[in-house]
Amino acid sequence: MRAGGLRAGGLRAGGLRGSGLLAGAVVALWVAVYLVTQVFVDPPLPTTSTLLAGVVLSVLLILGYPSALRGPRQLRRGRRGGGRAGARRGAAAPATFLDLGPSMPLRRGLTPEAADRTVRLLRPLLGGDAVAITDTSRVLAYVGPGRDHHRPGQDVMTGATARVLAGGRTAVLHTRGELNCPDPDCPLRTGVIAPLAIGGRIIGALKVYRVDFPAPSARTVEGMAGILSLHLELAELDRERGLAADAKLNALRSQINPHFLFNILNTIASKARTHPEEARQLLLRLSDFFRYSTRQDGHFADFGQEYFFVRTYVSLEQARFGDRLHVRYDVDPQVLGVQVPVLVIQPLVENAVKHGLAEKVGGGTVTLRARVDPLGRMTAVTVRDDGVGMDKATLARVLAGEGREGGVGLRNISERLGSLFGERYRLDVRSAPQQGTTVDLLLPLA
Amino acid sequence: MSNAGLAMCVAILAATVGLVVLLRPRRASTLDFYLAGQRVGVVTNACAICGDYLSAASFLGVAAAVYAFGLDGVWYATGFTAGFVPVLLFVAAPLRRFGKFSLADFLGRRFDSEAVRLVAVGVVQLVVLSYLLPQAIASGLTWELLVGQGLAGLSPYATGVLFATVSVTGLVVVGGMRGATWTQAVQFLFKLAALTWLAAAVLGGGFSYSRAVADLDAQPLANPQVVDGTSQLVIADNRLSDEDPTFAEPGARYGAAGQFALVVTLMFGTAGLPHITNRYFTSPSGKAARTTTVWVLGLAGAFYGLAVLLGVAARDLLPGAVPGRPWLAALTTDGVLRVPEHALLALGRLVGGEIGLGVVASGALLALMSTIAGLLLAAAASLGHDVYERHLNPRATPSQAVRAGRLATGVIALAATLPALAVRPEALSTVFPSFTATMVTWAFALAGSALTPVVVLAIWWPRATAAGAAAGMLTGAVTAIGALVGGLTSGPGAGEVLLTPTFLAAPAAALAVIGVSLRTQVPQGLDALWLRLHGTAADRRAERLALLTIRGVRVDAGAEAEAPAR
Repeated sequence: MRAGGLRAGGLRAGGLRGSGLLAGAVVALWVAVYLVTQVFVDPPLPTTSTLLAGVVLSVLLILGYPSALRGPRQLRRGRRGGGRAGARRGAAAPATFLDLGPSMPLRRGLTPEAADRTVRLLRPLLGGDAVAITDTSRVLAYVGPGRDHHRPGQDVMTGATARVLAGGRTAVLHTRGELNCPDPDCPLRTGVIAPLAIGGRIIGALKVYRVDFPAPSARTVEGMAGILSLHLELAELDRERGLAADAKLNALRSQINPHFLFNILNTIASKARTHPEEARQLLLRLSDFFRYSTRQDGHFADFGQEYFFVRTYVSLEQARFGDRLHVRYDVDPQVLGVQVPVLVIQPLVENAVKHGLAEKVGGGTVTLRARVDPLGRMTAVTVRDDGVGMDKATLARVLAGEGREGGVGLRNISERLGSLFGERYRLDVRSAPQQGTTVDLLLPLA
Repeated sequence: MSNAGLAMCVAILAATVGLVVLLRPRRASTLDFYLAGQRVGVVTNACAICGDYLSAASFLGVAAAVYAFGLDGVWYATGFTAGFVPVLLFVAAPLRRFGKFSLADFLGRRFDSEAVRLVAVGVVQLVVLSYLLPQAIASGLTWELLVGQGLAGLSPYATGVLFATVSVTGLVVVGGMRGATWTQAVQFLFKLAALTWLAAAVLGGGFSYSRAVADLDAQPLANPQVVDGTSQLVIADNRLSDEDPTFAEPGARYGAAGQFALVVTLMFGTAGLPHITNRYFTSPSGKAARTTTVWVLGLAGAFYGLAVLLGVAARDLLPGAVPGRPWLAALTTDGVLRVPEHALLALGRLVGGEIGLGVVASGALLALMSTIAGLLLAAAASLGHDVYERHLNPRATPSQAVRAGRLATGVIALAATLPALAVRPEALSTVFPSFTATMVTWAFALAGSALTPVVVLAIWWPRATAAGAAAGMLTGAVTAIGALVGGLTSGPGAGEVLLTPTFLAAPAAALAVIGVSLRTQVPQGLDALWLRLHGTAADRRAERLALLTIRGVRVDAGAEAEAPAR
């Protein structure tokens, strides 16, 4: 019963909201029906069937319209409050703050845009004429009368705000004198200023003013400031979680680099006496490589850059393996502009060389294949070798991150991809003894 | 068409597939040319873009328009080619530097707004649908002429529509036609070769372009129309003067405003075509994207030049060839084709017999299928990525995303097939002669009105805001659609201008962007974004990196060459 009432409220609000749009849609529908039945088709359909088709389609449109406005069912269930939010728009009674729930702008931190959207959302709920949010020094957003001199971006003017920011206690201002606005024409008379805090640290203030008496309810404003503080605290937590992920990625990246460097330096050392000129070229190559690998920042790079890493790595390895190592590149140029996570493809090739071909008598071929899948908006990268392969048990151990050193590389990669993409990537490894190993990587286009 | 011709057509399609596989670069060197932005890479990429761009409207439609209207039809060739000038000047390099894979994604990121993204997705779907519809109709027509009989009790036309859309949808859904750069490039080369062969055969047969134009210009231009139940030649109204229209003078189709409006519409549309802009990400750097566009201009210009020549040749040669050729007599009224889209096909059969028809038809089918595939992919990817993955299910796994894309492909294909099946091409032909080209201009009008102004302002005007972009796209789309509907319902006078409404709708959209943007706040953090769009440091870095890659390879090649000696 209650749910039905809520739905009806939502329906009514929806109908009022979009009736102009609906009228437009109906008109467009009839124009389309006319065009399809009378202009494009020869001979034109008879009037009766045309009218019938038009009426049926219009009825469908009008019936389907409110549910289209409300959005798909699943979403509707998730937003139970949406119905009440619709009803609230008609009535003046403030609903609970939970209605704002997922759309709470400050959830992403105390920025001028978020503050601006927040004050607009809050003004009808708080019973004040003007609502402002400040950080510790500046007004971030202001809505209501007096906006001509209480401009966002200005330094905080009123002494009362400074006191709240310093003391961390809610201030109720009953007179103009207490309000202490430097502009003599300011229409504001009374107000409440409540601090916004993250874990006891004051980071701003929520201010509600009225142009008449009495002052807004201090409890309401204080409660609201508390809820906003909670959201800001969540935003801070998000940020810290992001930082932690960054740190983890950097740690993983620096783990990969020395591993790689170690191998190459060994190669060069082995060449230094017998082929000094080749060793010199390899060193130059290595310096190119590290110039780019140390200069990059962030977790993504163009595929073209990663391709350079792979080519450089391969040329260094070919110096060591000679004719035993062949590499085939089957790369569609469309992939070159795609952003991919750094140092993911090169370790895959390195694994193929080290664990697939190094132990195989006579060497073999590594194939790097890269395509963009435009349908799923994904980059498909395949690294395949025709080397020694491994049995099921070894494969399971490698994937679990145990066993030989190569497994660490795979695990690094999948961990990094996991923290970058969540569930939205795929890393498949297929292998059988003496039949080589194939690694398939599917990455979303970032 | 006989079985020999059909077999030829199948053989050619199979040979093209074979060529695509054979020509696929196996060594890294071609990719290196790409990376270095050298000519081989740039030309391949330009060919791929042309392969996506040249649809049935280009392959059959331009020749048909020239065939039917002479000079007024040449504007289609001009407009389709000139469309890449705004792309070259305003869009190519910054779009590539920004590095987003579709227009909706670009606009969504540029304005950091999901609303803009969704509006852009909606407009993209509209553009794609209005582009797909004429392709589907053209595939029905080609089938009608090529096979001439329907399957499973359907009419030949319906069979052709269903065959093309269902098979391409199938290919896209199973991922066979992924639009890899090489495939598209080879396809374009085949289309260009087909036209070149036809032109060479025609010219070798003693055809002289200037003489033909002079001959055709000597008599009034008349096209078949159904009068009192029989088809007869009717001299068209001259929209520019009181005299009868002629082949080499403007006025057979469009009035003064109409000629202008048509070229403007075609010119501005290309920069907003989703399946073309998606290709720009193939270039390794912004600079290479620009060089590529220059090549595209040249290649497309050559292609359309040939199409114009062949349209004239068909008009000149077909009337004299009717006696003794019953198949041609069945298609013509007093030596003039009733459906101008048949011009190239008939010319091919005239010059090369069944094999010639097979070659031209394969070109047309390739053009159709590659464009349908590109459009379906662009639409389905924007639904799957920008709507499904971002709004309906943000944690979609790769397989879920692919499933959503496949479903979207099916839906879009269905939405384009049903209206195509309902249409009677003969009926359309009398309303819009050379309708394949005409209907494609509607897609160009929509793209040029709603997307191009917003994209250009988004790239070049830092003050543009999300609200402005959304308002601009909506204004452009609504104005263009309103004008198109008005043009369809009103008579030929104002109608011809309203059917090519970009020169009205694009300024309206631009004004909406500017007006609304000035009233809203610019978001912060624009500088970094601007640097990404216009900064050339990334370009230079990409070039340096490419040179390093290749230099390193050459060093190794030398080292390998020494290896046996030691």
